[in-house]
Amino acid sequence: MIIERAVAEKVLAKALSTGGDFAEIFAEDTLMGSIRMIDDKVDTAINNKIFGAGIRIFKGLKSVYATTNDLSESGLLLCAEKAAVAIGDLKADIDIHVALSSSITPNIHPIKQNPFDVAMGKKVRVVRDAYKVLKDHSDEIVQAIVSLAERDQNVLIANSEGLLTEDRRVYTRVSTVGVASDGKENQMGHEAPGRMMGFEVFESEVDVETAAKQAAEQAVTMLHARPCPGKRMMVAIENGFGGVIFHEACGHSLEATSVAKNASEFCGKLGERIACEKVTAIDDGTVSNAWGSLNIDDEGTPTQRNVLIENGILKGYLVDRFNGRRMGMPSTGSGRRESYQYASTSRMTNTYIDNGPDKNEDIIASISDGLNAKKMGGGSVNPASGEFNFAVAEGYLIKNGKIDEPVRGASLIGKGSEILQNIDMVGQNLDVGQGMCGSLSGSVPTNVGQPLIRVSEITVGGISGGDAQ
Amino acid sequence: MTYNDFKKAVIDQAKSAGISQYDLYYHKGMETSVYAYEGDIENFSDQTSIGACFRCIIDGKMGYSSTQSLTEEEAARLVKDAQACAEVLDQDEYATIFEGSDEYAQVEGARDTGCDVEALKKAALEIERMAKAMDSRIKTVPMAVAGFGYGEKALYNSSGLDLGHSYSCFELVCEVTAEDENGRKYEAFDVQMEVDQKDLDVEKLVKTAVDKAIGSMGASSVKSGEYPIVFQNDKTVTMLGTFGGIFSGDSAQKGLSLLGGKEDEKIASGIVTLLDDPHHAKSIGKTPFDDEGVATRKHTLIENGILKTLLYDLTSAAKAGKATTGNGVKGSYGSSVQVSSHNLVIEPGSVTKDELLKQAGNGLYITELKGMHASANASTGDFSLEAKGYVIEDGRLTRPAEQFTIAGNFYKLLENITGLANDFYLHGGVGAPAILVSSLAVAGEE
Repeated sequence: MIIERAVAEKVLAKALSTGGDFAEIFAEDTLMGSIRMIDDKVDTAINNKIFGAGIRIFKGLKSVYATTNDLSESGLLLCAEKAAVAIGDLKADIDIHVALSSSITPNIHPIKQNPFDVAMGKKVRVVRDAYKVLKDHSDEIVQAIVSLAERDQNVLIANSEGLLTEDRRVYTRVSTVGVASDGKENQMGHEAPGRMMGFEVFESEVDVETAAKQAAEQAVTMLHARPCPGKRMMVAIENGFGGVIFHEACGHSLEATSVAKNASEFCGKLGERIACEKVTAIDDGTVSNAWGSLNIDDEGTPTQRNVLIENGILKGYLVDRFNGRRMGMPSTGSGRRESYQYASTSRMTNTYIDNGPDKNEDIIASISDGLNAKKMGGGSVNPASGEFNFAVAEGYLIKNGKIDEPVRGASLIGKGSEILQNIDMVGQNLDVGQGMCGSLSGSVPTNVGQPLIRVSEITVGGISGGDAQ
Repeated sequence: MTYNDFKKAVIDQAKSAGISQYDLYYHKGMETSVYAYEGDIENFSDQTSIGACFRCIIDGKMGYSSTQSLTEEEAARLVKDAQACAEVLDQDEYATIFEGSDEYAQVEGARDTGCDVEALKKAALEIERMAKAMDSRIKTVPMAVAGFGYGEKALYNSSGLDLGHSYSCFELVCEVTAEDENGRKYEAFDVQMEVDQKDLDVEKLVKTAVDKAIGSMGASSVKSGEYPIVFQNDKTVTMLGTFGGIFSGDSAQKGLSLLGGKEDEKIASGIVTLLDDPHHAKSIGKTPFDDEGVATRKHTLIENGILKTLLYDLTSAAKAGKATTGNGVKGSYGSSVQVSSHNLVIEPGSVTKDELLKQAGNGLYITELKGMHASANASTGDFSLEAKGYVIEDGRLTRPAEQFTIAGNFYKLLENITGLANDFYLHGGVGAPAILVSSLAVAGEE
């Protein structure tokens, strides 16, 4: 155990000594490793150990968070005292006894091969193989970057309600980037598959060569693509990472972080129709070994399958402990944080639009003049106004129901509530893609996903204004 | 154990492992933040974090390892892991541990005087109160934050170099949500980060955020087309911060910047002068040495449109047959050294912002940009960004505009800067005035 039970009990009692009504310890001992190859050389290998604890105290709708790297009894007590002083104005110590009992959550994300037990040479081979695939793809690929990242996070969570629990999260991900150039211009392609799994991910789930090939192909295709025209268009967004549209346009605005303070456009809309009835959206932290999954969230609550939108009707929000107090709602197992250096808040896990009623070929055939967003990049959103943006990493024009020439440099912008209503066809090839989602509590692994969908109208940001030739 | 004891333990471990070239980097950060909400202190955060990173060269290969736990066992693991990391790399003939510079600039550090929590509470509460009082349409203030940060870094290496520096920073944040009569929400925020507490201005912060939110009420899109664009000073900073990586000599060598081999060529409009100024008095990250221990100094990157130099760390400089510019920087204590600017600034011009708007005639004034992390790429220079701002008609701001994108290429944008205002603004290691760009593609309504 990172912290002994008796020590955790003392620390929690100290944290509550000035009148707090809830106290929590989040401690972690994490190893992170990365290996990178660029410019024909494996040039970087790093091992980082993240080690520390955060102590949080609630008193009604007030909270205090303090961190330390000193996990000795005295170090933790000092940290708890600092936090207790900050939350309470009580002069005399209250004598509080906290009794913890261990809770073991079944592990639904088994790890077969801890990446930190795998020989470095074997990991380097994965990187070199991917690098070779990228560089051999075409003479136009002038540079390639491949990196392998692993994380083995061991956490202990204890709180004054008596919870004492531990969890281990192991992640493995490879990132492949191809840079194509004609000497005057550069274009990039990117694929980065990963799982909440050990090194066995490369035997079963992730084909590194395929990822590298796709990254190279994307870079070369975009090098020969025309700039995308900028205007309002009908857009077909492909499955997998295309789901970033829901993540940005709606997901963030359903997080209690925004909803609790009436700073979301979806406040007070539970039970109302916010999307076309073909749209059902789910956040599910229980998918076995998926990139965004967890056994328990970073507050010790088991993750669950949260239906956010069912047939167009808003069904629920993503709630963490603290914001749940303001909203009068229980946690949905959505309290997450990058590390002990952040207090947890409500975040997404694996979020996707479910399969719908439309045939994929009908979706493309239905568009006479539009854009096929084949690969999406990242995006961002302002939950209050719902304004979002995201990048189209690989796009094609659609002419008369057929996929036409590639276009580059496109981005999509809009308002969440409007775009949800504009998703008017939902296909049947649900898939997910991996991303790192950044917000108040840092950067956490999340899956986004969807089948092919059609958006009837959205603003496409592009380089050449007006109509395409 | 203390850092000094840990340092000794690491030195002993390196010695017994027979490692002759290494350095040890240490960072300690403390941050106190107070959040006000609905007239009360809702959240208080007091964070301390330390980190030590060891790197060593074995057979021309540099491996890294870091920790946040200062113990004997960790000192041993650190050295062992860095060695293991080094072993699997390809040889780099330019890998090196620095001998030390002849002279280091005098850069004022900070003292760990602790933090006046009561003053922070007062400031946070005042931000919220003032924002709500300023305009009745401000319905909520989701973020009213006052914070203080203090940090120390130290670098020790096998050549005997032993350097240290400290810094501090005061921060205010105000985020407001305004609501119009139809219940439509408009969000805006402003941030101040200053070395000196006396440079903080709560009223200016709140007014900037409130004006931004109220000013954007009733905004609508604009017609797609090509427009002259004026970037508000903080948005020039956003653009320069996003694309600053193109001045990395390492990126140029790897084909990730298009500026390779362009030194002494014209790459920007003749009115553009760009500096990296690591000692700027108001820069929070001002530092006398970079993260390889090299003395930092001011460099002119672009002078009257001509590229004078790129930025280098020891490795990329050796590869280019040049001297390092002192720009070897770690993103955090545990990251590898990369080439990065310290404090990148475009020199301001002589006209006011209003005169710059007149010069633009009819165009768009950009006050918000989103999507830099995804829809802007320093290697290609391409960007296509969600924007907000105002329509400029006959040299004056007429109506708020939203739901449009501006798109182009940063390399071309540098050539198309036709005006610089005198309203220099510095934030987060980047400084610039408002600029006029002759033309960018705008996508909005038909």
